[in-house]
Amino acid sequence: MKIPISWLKEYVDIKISPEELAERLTMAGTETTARGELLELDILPNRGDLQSVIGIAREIVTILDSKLHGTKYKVLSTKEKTNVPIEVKERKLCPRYMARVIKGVKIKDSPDWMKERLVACGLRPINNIVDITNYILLEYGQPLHAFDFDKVNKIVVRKAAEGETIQTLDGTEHKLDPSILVIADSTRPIAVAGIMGGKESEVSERTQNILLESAFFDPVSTNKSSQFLKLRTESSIRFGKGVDWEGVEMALHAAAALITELAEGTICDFKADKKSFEREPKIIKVRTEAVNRILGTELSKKEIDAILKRLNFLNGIPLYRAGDIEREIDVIEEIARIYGYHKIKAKLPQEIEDNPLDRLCVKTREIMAGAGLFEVQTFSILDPQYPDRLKLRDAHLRDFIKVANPLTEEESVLRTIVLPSLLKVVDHNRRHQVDDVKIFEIGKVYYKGEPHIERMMLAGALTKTDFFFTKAAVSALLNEFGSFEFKEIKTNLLNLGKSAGIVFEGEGIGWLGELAIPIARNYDFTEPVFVFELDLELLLKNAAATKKHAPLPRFPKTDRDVAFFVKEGVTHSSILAIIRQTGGNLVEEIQLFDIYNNSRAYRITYRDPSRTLKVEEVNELHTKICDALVQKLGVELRK
Amino acid sequence: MAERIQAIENQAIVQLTEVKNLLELENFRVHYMGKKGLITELLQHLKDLTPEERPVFGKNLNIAKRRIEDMIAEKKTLFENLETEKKIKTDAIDVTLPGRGYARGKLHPITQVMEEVKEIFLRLGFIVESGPDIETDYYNFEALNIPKHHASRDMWSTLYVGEETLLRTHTSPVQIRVMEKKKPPLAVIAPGRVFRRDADPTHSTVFHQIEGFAVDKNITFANLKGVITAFLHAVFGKEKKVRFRPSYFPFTEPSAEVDVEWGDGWLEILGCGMIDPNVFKAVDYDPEVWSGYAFGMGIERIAMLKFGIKDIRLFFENDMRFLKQF
Repeated sequence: MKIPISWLKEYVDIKISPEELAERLTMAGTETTARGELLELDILPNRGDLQSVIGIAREIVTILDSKLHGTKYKVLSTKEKTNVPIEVKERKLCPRYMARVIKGVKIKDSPDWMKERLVACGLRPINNIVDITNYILLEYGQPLHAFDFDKVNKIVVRKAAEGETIQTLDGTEHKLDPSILVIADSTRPIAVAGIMGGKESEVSERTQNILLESAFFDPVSTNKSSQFLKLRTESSIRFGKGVDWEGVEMALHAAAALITELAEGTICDFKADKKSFEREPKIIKVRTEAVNRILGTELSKKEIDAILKRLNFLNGIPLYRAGDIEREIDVIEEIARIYGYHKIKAKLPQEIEDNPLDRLCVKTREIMAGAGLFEVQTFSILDPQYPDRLKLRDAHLRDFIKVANPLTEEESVLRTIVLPSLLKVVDHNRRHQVDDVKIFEIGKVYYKGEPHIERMMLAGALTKTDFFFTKAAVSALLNEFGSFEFKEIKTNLLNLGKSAGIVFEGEGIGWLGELAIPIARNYDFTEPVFVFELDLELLLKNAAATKKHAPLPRFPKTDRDVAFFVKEGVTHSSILAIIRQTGGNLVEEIQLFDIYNNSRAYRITYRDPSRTLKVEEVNELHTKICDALVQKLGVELRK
Repeated sequence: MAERIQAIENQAIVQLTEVKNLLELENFRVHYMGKKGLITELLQHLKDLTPEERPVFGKNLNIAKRRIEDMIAEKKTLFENLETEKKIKTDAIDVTLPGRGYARGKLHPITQVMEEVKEIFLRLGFIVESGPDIETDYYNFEALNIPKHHASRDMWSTLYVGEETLLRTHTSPVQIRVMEKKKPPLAVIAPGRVFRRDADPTHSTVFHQIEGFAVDKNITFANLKGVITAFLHAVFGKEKKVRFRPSYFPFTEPSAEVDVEWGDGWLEILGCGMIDPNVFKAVDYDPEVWSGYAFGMGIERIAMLKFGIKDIRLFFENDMRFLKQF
């Protein structure tokens, strides 16, 4: 819904900026955007009362705690008598029906100010009478309908008879059925109640006298008819959400007053008001205790009353809110809304503090198991011989913590490294004729300190496999959290030439390789065992917090292969480095797809994220890369 | 001319029965329908006819043409289906051969049970905390209302690594560590490794526990019963009866052992109780304001029950044939 602020100002003083006004309305439940002097409002389905200038003005009065100005319309009726028989047959579906007759109207264009407001609110000006009913609809939220009085001899509010039809104002012919409430004269339907008037009794240029209708139609019945006829109008939307019982009368008089002013009509003394019942503001008891219990506030009765006063709820629920506010809890919602959600202090069941290391362990287990490794649980207390069996040199790895009163010598010191625990498992399995062992453990190691230090490690041991299978498993894990590389290292634990340091985000976090032959011999292992161990807490320290999405490429890639023989000592990583260095940003991916002895074949994927690469361009770059490989690494290209 | 058309059509019907495959069918098509085919040739005669004869001739020729086309199409579908069938037959494999690629590993049964227990409590709104394996005497005993030289210390056979340091005998010290750094409300579980000077088929020097506790205003024994019963039903099934039996722990008052219906009898599953006011005093909580419950359970014990394992040592041998069972 759109409303010019100038219109609102006729009903309430607004001293804040449009932006601030929009913000205040939004924070009170009506999403509002200020477009210059125009407010765009998104009315919630339970707030039928806000579908008008006056409704929004009332809301602003509540929010700003100010006053609503009185009406500006004065009705000057004449003595002229007229009479129209009005009969409401469906008192439930139409509990209130009012009408007035205005004679001697001059049909012409509306004044500019009115046209401007209608256009600003998204309605098309037609003529002064239709425009006035629309204007009042916007101002009061009460749909009105003007009939050409000379074409109507009687008003009957009834259900349509089987087979009856009506041509509505938009020119469409509708078949009616008895579920639809209509306004009829003595013979035929002249309007679909609450939705749209009929073409025949339409106000035209020749119209002189009009009958103005203002009613309260049942919301559910209106919605049903609207769906049945596939006809949704400003009128049906408002009746569908429920209009203001008292607004029926106020809007009718306001429209009559405007018609005398702008269409020179005279209002007849005739005033019909058929009511099925009287409506009174409902009294709802609101307990201070209940308010605070539900909201978690500590509001006093005085504070609550002040809010209720702003809502105009002190003398019962005003009829314009009757459809929405029916129970104590509804009032409590209103109190919360006006008090301000931002003022309610947030309470948690408890601080939800994440346990990142625990989550990392869970994820690591899943990835390692997914890579084909079995998890083991081993004792963290070992026999004191393990540093010697592993030929450990590092002082901090040799200097274990001793148990003062061990049960056995075999379980008498705290491990400083997980590896011996895993080798014990490999050994156990070997002794039981299980040669294929692929295991990992997530467990603690312990170093001396004040207090003692505990670190969470990931370690693995694999037989019947090779270096690269082992590396792939660890890479799968590291790849999940950041960038990594494997660097040649020298350590007693691993065979030289098959040992790598694991570098994650620039920091060394562990090692991987083939268990050194002298150690394997200590365990009577005759076949190679590939082992790794890394510090999960270091991994966690350097892990990226979240994954970031990179847009998918919009331009095609071009693949080029290069195959060559390498000299001894030329590594994969040095080849990658040369390709990247020479190819720059246009090299998207490099894939080693064939390896045999000293022969290597790479597929290089070229792509520019911002355009399609030309063939000549790719050829030129690819040749440049090949040349660089020959010159810098001395490879011999294969033809 | 009509006879001529009829003759060609008849000839085609006979010849088509001799066509054996798609290649021959194509030759057949060219012979009749091709640029110099018999049917195409007949069209040349159109110009020799009188204007009256032409429409009749054209119509007849078209009918014949369509008939032959339909015959070819039908034959083509037949040959194609036969060929597809043949290909499917030759490509058939032994579907009972094993699948190829990565074999997935598995998580240790203790981990599986630990994660299951953890998951249930996370759903109940608990958070996960942890503490060190090497504890001080204070956290492991004194703060938990177990004074030095008190008879109750005999409940735990402790492995010491120093005068005042030891390997924690239970996960309960995490209660103290968490309450020292946080204020209520709290609902915490602490899974972890614990150590005892004990070894036989049902006791292991190293094993695992999950500790849990909650502190808030108005926490009652009824809350404890609710949470523990819900938990045990989630693990062992809703049909299992659960009973709470009075017991003794220095850090809870009242204390209870919880049994689950098992066969004809009951099985002791965990210990629990309302946190003792002395524990609250140790962490500077006012016992008049706060109340809470705590519970602790052995993971191996639950895993042994769940999986029907008789010897606890199997868990730590890590025989691959054992690990593959879970």
